[in-house]
Amino acid sequence: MKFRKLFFRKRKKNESRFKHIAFILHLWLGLISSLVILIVCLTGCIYVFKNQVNDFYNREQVFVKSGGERLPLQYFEDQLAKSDQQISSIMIPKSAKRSLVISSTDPDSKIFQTHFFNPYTGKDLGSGGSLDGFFNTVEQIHKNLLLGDAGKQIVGVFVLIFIFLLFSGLVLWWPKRKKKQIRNAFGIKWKAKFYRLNHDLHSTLGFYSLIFLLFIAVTGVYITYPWVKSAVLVSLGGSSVQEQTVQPDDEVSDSFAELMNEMLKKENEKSALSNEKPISADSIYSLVSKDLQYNGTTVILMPNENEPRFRIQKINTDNLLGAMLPDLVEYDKKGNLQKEELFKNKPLHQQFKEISKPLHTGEILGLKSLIFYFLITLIGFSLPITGFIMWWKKMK
Amino acid sequence: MIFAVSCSKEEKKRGLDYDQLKNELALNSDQSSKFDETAAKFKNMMEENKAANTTEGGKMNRTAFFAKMEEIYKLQSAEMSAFLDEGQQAKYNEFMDKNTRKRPRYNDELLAKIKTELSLDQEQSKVLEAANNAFEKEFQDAHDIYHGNEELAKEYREKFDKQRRTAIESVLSDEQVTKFRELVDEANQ
Repeated sequence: MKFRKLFFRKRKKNESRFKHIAFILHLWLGLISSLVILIVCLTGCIYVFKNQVNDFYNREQVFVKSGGERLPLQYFEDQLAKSDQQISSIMIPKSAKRSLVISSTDPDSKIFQTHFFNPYTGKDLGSGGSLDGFFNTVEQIHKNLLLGDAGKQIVGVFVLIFIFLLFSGLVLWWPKRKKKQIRNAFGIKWKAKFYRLNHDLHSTLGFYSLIFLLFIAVTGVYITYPWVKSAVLVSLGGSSVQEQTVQPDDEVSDSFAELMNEMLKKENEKSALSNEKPISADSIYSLVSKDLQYNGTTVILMPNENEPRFRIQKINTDNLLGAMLPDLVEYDKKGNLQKEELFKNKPLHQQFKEISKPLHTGEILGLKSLIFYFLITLIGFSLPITGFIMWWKKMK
Repeated sequence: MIFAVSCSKEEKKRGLDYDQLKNELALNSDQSSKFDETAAKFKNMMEENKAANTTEGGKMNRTAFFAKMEEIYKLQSAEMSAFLDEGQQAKYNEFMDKNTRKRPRYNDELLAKIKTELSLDQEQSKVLEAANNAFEKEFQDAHDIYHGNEELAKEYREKFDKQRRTAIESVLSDEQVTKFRELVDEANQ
């Protein structure tokens, strides 16, 4: 009898059958999924600040005191040339308080290094360390509970259950049209006794975080399930990821033909400009600043024996929300613009593909969205706990 | 190996576990300490490669990342060969071949072999290189679509590989096409 009371209750007077069924399913599915959801939300919470924690761990290398004009990039090219190093890439940060990140290679030994440099004094700050080992483990727990492909499917199923729980929770939360019920639904009675406070933390916080948790959950299963990916991309004007167009044996697709033309152009540049000395990093940086007229973190990949062009990625935050949107440009060794892929010009489904991961992890708007995502996933982490306490009270 | 490994297998291989290999190699104490030193040095280089190709808010340049990763593995192998004997080196190479990610393209050895055995002229060589690079870029660019799904990765790989072969064969004679297919199929085994 008591067992029946724990997992089932009779329909209340004036309660709709729909709401009653929603309660039963919310209870059962909540109990079944609580542990996995708890782990996924907790690891998500921890992972949110991965870059910030790494930056803090390497604060001696990453952060500098801003002081006037940055040294020209030529300075660093010359300094590294003294120790027979050729620059392969430079990251110029948007923030005046961050160091340059320069990768270089010894052309003879091919030994490769990435160091931080003070952009004002030119000091080599070394390479810093990495907490990637810890965060990789957190990420793997988050994605698959360290159980490989089987774990990935388990997490996927439980996140789908969680999405259902958000909607069934909304049904249960929905207040009747009475002033007191409406007031209770939107507020938390902080001074109430423990179980009442617990109830409000579950119900009210669940309501306020619903749309955001739903967004995070959907972007998560987007990454996991091809059918979700297809549904989202098709709804944004793209095509299903699983419909592979079958080309006749003697034809190439338009997209491949376009890439072929680009690669053939590069092969011709390799031979035509093989003896051409590339323009300086300062020159290319000036060109980029002229063509992409906003302040943004810029990464320049230098030409090499296999790649005849400068490849630049610049992060555009010049929009209403300050979202980090990547633009790509390529210049040949002489500084002529050869390719421009601006985020704003891409179709919607392509834009979504590019930023689906930062949308899921909270990186999209920088620190402000990271803090927000942390709070939301913390609520997500608390929901199985407060829900369990509500059920536990019934058991006693 | 020509084909890339999809991410579900890649996740197992992130951070190579050398303990089993070291047991198989039966290293003496001097070799063991040199092995650990070399492995740590190149693990560091690999992390720096990842840092160099990752920007907050940006998209990782997977083509550049994989190209540098391949170079780093070659350097590591060369340094290992300085203190491993022939038998140990063969076991090391087998381990690395089985447990490391590969660039999704015909490797340099296969490209050189195709150029030599098919006696490709300059224009044909350019098409070969261009098609190979286009295949690599197309496959890497589609990573966000097939990420974590081996079946889908395989489908995309086969689709793009077919395009690559079509593009290359369009500039070859019938005899060259036969030889090309032989070489590529042999490399795939």
